[in-house]
Amino acid sequence: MMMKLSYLLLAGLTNGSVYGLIGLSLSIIYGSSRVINFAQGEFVMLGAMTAVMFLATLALPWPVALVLVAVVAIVAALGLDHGVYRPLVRRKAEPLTIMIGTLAAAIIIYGIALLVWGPEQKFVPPILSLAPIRFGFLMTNAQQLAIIAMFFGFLVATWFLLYRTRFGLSIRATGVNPRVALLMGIRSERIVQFSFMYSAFVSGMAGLMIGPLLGGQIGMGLLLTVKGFMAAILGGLGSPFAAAAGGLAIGLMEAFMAGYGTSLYAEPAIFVLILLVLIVRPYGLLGDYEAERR
Amino acid sequence: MTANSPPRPTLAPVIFILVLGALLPFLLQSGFHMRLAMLIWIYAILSMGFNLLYGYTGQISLGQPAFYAIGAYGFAMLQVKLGWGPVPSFIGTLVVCAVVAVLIGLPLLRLRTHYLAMATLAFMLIQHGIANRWIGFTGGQSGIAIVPLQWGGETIGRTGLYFVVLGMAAAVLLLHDFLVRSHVGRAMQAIRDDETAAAALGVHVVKYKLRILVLSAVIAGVAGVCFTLTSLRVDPSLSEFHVLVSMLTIVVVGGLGTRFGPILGSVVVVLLPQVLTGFGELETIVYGAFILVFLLFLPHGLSSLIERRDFLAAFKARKPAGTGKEAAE
Amino acid sequence: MTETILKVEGATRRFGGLVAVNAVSFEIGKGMACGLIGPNGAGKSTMFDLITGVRPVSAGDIWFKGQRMTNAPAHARSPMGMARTFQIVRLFRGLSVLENVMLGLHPRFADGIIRALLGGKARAAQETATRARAMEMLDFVGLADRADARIEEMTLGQLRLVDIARALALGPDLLMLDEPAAGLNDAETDNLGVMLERLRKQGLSMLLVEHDVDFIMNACDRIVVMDRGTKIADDVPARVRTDPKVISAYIGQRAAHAAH
Repeated sequence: MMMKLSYLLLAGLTNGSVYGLIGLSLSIIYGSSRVINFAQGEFVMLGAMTAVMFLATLALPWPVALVLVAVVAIVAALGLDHGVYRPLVRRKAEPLTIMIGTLAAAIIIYGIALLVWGPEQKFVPPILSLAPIRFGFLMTNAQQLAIIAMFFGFLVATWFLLYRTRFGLSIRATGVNPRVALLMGIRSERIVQFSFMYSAFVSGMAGLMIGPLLGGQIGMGLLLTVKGFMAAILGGLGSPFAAAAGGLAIGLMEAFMAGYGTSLYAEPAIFVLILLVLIVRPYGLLGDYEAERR
Repeated sequence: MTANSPPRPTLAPVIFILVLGALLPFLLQSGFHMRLAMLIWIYAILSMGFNLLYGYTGQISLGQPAFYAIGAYGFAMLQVKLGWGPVPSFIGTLVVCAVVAVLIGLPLLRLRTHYLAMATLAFMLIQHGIANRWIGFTGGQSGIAIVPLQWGGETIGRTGLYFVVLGMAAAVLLLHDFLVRSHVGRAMQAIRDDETAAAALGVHVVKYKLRILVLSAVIAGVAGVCFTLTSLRVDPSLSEFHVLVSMLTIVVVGGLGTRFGPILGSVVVVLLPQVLTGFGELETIVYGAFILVFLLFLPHGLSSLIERRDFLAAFKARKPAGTGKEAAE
Repeated sequence: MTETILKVEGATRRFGGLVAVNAVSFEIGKGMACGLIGPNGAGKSTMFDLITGVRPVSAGDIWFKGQRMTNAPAHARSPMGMARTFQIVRLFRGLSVLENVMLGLHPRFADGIIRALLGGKARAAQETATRARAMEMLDFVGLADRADARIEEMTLGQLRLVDIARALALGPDLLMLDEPAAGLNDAETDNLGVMLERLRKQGLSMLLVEHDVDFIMNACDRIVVMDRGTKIADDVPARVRTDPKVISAYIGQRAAHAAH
């Protein structure tokens, strides 16, 4: 009994942390650019797959691999910003057109990954031990604990960034009104670039850490993007923290529905739940009026 | 003396497209080519529904593939499970699509842009989940098979089937074209461009959005029925993500909110993979890059190269701006 | 006074704790051109939104042609004969100039898609009549030769005229203009003044919200002045011009500006 509860709780928290980090990433990009990034899950996939390359294929020491994974994710983000976002914004494209542009970027990233890694599922070597650890009735392992710790670490880092730095103030101002922010001397293109880089870093790290538990496969990005959307919508796209909380909630619901109900309907049931939330609270459980202004 | 009003768009291009479509079976030899031609029409139907909803009315629904699948499943299930004939099944399926669209639309159309997109995406995933997992009802992964369409006790051949699909596409094309050239089309575009101003001119914004959502769901259902007719089998792949990507690509490549964008786009999108097989492993990358190139360099799609109005506008824009200033002085 | 066309009774609008419009009442008689002026933040635009139904009133009533329309939705007001223009020109970018004006006649069409499909010859004839009427309206504002132009090809002055043509298409009983002269150069403002004078001579009732005091003094028979949400004057232009309360309201604003 307790074993099962413990297992489900930790599995839910672990997956939920990843969904939450994707939701947080999406929310940061949305906040600065009003664009939903369909390629966000691809950053997670890149994190997991480059981990395979650097840790297993090239057998680099993990601190080096970690830095290289971050570099790859950030380079991909820069490509997305300079290759898709900026050119489209300069051509005065609508936010929804830019969203379709990020979808094209996701397809391109997937295509590149297909060339590099092929379609097979890969084993992603864990950085930390998967050996069981016991806390009373809780059974876990170091990798799971690290993922949950990373989730809270990124929450604190994001909060610090947004509310305790000048840069964060600029990000928030750009989100409220890019024109006014520009008048105040804030270059919104730089802010958007930073938000792409930061969110790619967060998602890439999430991929590196969750890879050993989910397995690395180049098609994993899409489902993670969708879960991130749902996290952001459930919590509220307007706030990175609400979106992160939404991810945790989805992870836990998924685990418990699969554990105590039937795993067959866990996913559809969650989407139904999210639809119901949207109907009752159009801007998410923790969302506010902010979202109403497009 | 009132000046003459500018010429109105005519039906000529619609007739041209349909005549071309009717000649196709006599030009194509292999069954494979005929299947591609039918697929072009099916995707064109699906995309015309989406074009009305997003291109003209500005309401994005990523749930269109779900209605496509509901249409396909409904048509198969009414025949197989209830033993209805093809015609009652066809009508029944469209009614089901309309009812589901009303139920989805009433709460969701309050949402805007990204929220509407995400919510309708959730709807698509629910539909996909049910199709995949409620095995007793939908047949799960293996889906449901139906018997071929018959006429006078004989099975309709491939060419006959092509004309059935072409007939459906013609009906949808004429409807699409009639609407966008009528006062309904003006009201739709008004809602897309500025809801407040549209309401001030007496357009009932909420009612129109719901009507167009229902209509586009029914049109997606028609596309689904055509799919079932031609493939004789339905399975969960109907509402897989690649269908959504194809639909979005079609409207972007053809031109959002244009009269013939969906048709031009589906010709390209259906034939493109045939061309891209030459790229081998690069196929996916080229496909993604292709969408991006269109978004960047031809944001109004292939239609902007063809439609007369855009030609004229481009021509006028090149002339030195004279009339504007004179009138103001 | 002649027949009343618009009656605003104690209209109030609160935004949270802020009272943007506070129990304002006034009337517009048939054939009258009424101005609504006031310093920045007086509540003119909110008043305009309340009358056109863009925002609901918190309290009070709006009567139009003897009918209570306090709770009528925005889209129900234009078919009744209430037409408006927008301060920031809100023409539909995807439609041509002519099509924009044709939308002004939208309420004449039978409602609904199925009715449109079954409309047959009657609908086709109506479409033709709508085009002709829209061309007439464009001719009236002097832009018939620009019928096929796109919105982005037009100057601001021309767009204001298209907006007016669109509002006039249905033959309204009351034309409401939200700062029609804002952003126009002198020549364009004069042209607009001539246009409004012609409409006034035709006996059209009008409500003008305006910032440009000189423009409104010439264009109106009667002027309502608002300051900080309340009505402070309601009289003929000559007396409003010398009303000490009005002067102090405007001077107060100028002083506030100077202090900045």
